[in-house]
Amino acid sequence: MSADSLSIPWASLVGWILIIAGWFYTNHQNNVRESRKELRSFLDNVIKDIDEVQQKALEYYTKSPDETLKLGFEIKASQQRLIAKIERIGRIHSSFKNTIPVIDFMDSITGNDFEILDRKARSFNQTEDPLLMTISLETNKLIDILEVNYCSEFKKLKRMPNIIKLNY
Amino acid sequence: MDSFVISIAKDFSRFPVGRYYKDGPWPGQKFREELLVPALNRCDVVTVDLDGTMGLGSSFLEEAFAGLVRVHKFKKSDLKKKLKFTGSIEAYKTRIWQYISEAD
Repeated sequence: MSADSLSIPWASLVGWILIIAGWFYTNHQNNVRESRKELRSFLDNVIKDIDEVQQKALEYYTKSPDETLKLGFEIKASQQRLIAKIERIGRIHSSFKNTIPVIDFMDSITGNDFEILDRKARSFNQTEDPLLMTISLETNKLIDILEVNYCSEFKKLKRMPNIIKLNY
Repeated sequence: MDSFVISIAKDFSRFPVGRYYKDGPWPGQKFREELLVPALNRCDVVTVDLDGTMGLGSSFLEEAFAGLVRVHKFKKSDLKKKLKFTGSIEAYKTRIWQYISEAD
């Protein structure tokens, strides 16, 4: 048996290995792309919900307690759904496991004088009222952290620090 | 060891509201004084089930749980041993322990 006749099956085997490896690589890339698209779409939905909760919160604090009983329940229910959604992402994608920014967001909205009967309606001025400013800052912080987590999940960027303190 | 489970939704209300009695029918103060404190005084371990409500506000949670230290003078170390939480939302549990540890 000559050396030439042996090299034909080897060439064929290497060819098959390359085809299979190529298929695995392409399949992996497709899975990553699909997973990224799914997460992006889910995240867009979450960010929309965060904005909605923020808008409701700003409306809540600029109206008197007797006008906002129903709105208070809506905020708590929306917030609960939102937290559950973000925690669900964290169970699948490890970059989203940190819940501190969610807790800070939750606190800025339903802490303080939320559902307190003698609360006074605030004037709508996000740049001067400390509470309204905090709500806006915590909203932006949460969205930023979710976006960075998204990037770090797929682009291996350095993750955001666990706790970001806002000073105001 | 005596243990007791309190479900906020079933034993208190699905619509907990506010901090104090004046804020509504189901405030944090009422939950603390009428359910939580008697259970903690009577039992070795009290498990609070946080699921089933239509949402829990931070003001309700702070008053109900930080009030144990602030008003009823429970020791934080005792609460760590006696108080447990169940529920699907981890953020609530984390925050409640923060309230307790920050309470004076």
